[in-house]
Amino acid sequence: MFKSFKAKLVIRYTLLLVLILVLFSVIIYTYAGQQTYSRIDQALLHRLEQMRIDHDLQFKNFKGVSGKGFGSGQIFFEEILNSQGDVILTNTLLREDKIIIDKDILDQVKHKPVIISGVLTDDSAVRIGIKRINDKYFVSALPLYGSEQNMFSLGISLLVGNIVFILIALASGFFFVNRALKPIKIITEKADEISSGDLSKRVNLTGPEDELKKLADTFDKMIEKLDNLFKGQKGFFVDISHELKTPLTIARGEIDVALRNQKTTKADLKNALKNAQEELGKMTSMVNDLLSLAREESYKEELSLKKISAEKLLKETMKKSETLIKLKNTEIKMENFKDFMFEGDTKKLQRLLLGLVDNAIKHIFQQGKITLKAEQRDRFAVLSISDDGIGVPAEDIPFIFERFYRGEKDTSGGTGLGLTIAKKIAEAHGGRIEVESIPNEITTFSVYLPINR
Amino acid sequence: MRILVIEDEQKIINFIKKGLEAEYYTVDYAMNGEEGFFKALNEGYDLILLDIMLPKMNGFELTKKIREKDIKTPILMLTARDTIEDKVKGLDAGADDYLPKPFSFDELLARTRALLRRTGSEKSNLISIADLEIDTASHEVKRDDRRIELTSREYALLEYLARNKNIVLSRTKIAQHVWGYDFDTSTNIVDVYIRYLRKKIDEDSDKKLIKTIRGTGYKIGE
Repeated sequence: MFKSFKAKLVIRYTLLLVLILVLFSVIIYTYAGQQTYSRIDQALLHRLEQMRIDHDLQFKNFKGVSGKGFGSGQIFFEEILNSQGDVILTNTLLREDKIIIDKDILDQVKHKPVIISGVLTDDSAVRIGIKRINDKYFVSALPLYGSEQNMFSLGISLLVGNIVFILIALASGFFFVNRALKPIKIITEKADEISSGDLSKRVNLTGPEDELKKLADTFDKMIEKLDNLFKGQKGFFVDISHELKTPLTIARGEIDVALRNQKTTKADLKNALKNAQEELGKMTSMVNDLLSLAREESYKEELSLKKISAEKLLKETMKKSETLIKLKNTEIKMENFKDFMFEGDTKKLQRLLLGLVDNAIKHIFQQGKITLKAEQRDRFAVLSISDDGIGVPAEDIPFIFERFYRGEKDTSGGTGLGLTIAKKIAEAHGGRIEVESIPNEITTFSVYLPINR
Repeated sequence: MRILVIEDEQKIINFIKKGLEAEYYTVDYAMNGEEGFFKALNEGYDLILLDIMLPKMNGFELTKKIREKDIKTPILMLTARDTIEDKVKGLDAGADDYLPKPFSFDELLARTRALLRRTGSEKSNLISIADLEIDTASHEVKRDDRRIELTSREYALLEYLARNKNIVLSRTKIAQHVWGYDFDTSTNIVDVYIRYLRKKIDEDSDKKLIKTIRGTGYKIGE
C-alpha cells in the first residue's frame, strides 16, 4: 500500500501536518507555561514589596493575604528567616509545613529579590520569592497547583486535538487525493488497452482544462500520430506487396503458359522468357529503390555535409546521365550561371539529381531537351531540371511525390519511387522540391537547398 | 466458352489470353472498370476474371453492380490483395471465387473449369451424352470409346453445346460464346461448323445427337 503514489502522497502530507501541529502545540504549551509563571512571579514581586511595608509595621499585617494591586486575593505561604536561614515566623496558612530553601540560595539574595521554583515540605510545587531586608529574609511562595492543573489540561487537549485532526487529515487526504488522481487512473487504464494493440482507442478525458486534461490530450495526440504512422506503414507494405506481385504474376504467368502448352514453339518460348526477364528487371529496380527509400526514411544514414560547388555538382550529374540520355536520343545541357558554393552531401544530391533526370527522360519525347540550372535565391541554392516532355497535369502535382503514385496515363514503367526518394533526400537537407508544369511545353523540378545548414 | 478478363495491366491480359486460348476458350478483355461493366452487361460471357484495383470502378463495385443487374455469370477475382478481409469483401460482393496473384496457371484453369461446371449440371470435368464423352480438362472427346480428333474451334463449339445439353441455343448465342464476336446473324459460320462437328460425331452412329431446331438454332441431347 505504501508503494502506491497515492498512499505516499497522503502519508507525506499527513507527516508534514503532524510536524506542524506538534510544533504548534509545543509553542502554545511553552508560551502558556511562561505566561503562567510570569503572572505568578509578578504577584510574588508585588507581594515582596508589600512585605517591606509589613516589616516596618512590625509584621502587623503578616496574614499572608495580599492587599491591593496585581495578584490581590491570592493566598501566599510566607516565612521570615534570620540570617542563618532559620524560620523566625510562619504565617498561618503554612500550618506545620515549611518552605524548603537551600542555604546557598539565601546567600545569593542581595539587594534584589530572587524568584525560584521549589517545593514545600509536603511536596507541593511552589514559586518562591525571597527578599532580604537588613539581616532577615522574607520568603513568600505561591502554590503552582492550579497552574499545573491548567497546563495539564492544556496538554491533554492539545494531544487529543492533534490526534483527531490528524485522523481527519488522513481520511480527507485519501478522499481528495483519490479524486484528484482519478484521471490518472483513467489514463493508465486506457494506455494499457492501447498498448495491448488497439491504437484506435483514445483517453478522451472529460472535465476541466487542468494539467491532467492537458496530459490526457497530449497522450491522445501522440497515439493519433502513432496510429497514423502504423497505418501508413501498413499501407506501405500493402503497396509494396502489390507492386512486387504484378511483375511476379506476369513472369510466372508467361512461364506457366509457355511450359504447359504442347504447341509452344521455340519463338514462343523465347518470347515468354524475354517477358519474364523484363519483369525480373523491374523487380530488381523496385527492390533497389525500396532499399534507398528505407535508407532515407530510417534517418540512420547521417549526411556527410561539405561545401560543394553547384557547377561541379551539375556537371557530374550530366556526365553520369550520359548512358540514360543515349537510350532516348535526347539532349541534356547546362545553362550558364555564376558558380556558388553551398553545404550538402554530394553523394546524396547526386542520387537526387540523377533521379530527377531519370524521371525527365522517362517522360520526354524522342529528341527532347533537358536543361540543368543553378542559382542563389535568398538563403537557398536552387537546382532546377527542366524538360519539354509530356509534363504533369495540375491535378496530379500534389501526389507525384507519394510512393508508387503514377499518373493515369503514365506508361513509363518506373517504380513509382524515384521522386519519393528525391523528396526524402531534399528534406534530409532541410530543403524541398517544387514542380511547375505546362504539359508538352515545359516542366521544371526545382530543388531548394539551404546554402548554410 | 467465352471469358471476359477485366485487368488494367496489359501484360497480364496478354499471358492469360494466350494461355486460355490454348485451352480452346474464347477470350475478351477490358482494361478499366467501366468498360468491363459495359461489356459484361451487353455481351454474354460464361466467366469473368476480375482484378480488384482497376481504374474508374474497382472490382468490388463492379461485382456489386453486375449482380444488381441480375447477371449471374460466375466471377473469379484475381488480385494481389490477399488479406482475409479482401477475400470476404470480394465474395460478399457477389464473386464466386478468389485467386491471389501471383497464381499458377494450372490452378487458374482448374478453378475456371470448376466455375463453368457450377452453371451446368455436370459435377466433374467429364460431360457425357449417351455414348459421347467429353473431358473438359484434357479436351479428349470419345464416342463409343473411339477417340475423335477435333480442331480447337470444333472442340469449343462441342463443349459449349454439351455444357448446355438439351437446351436450344440460337446461332447468335453460339457465335458469341464460341467465336467471341457479335456476328451478323446472316453469316453461316455456325452452320458450317455444326456440319463439321456432325461429320465427326454423328456420321458413324445411328443415334444422332446434334439436333437442328428449325427457325431457332441447335441443341445437343439424346
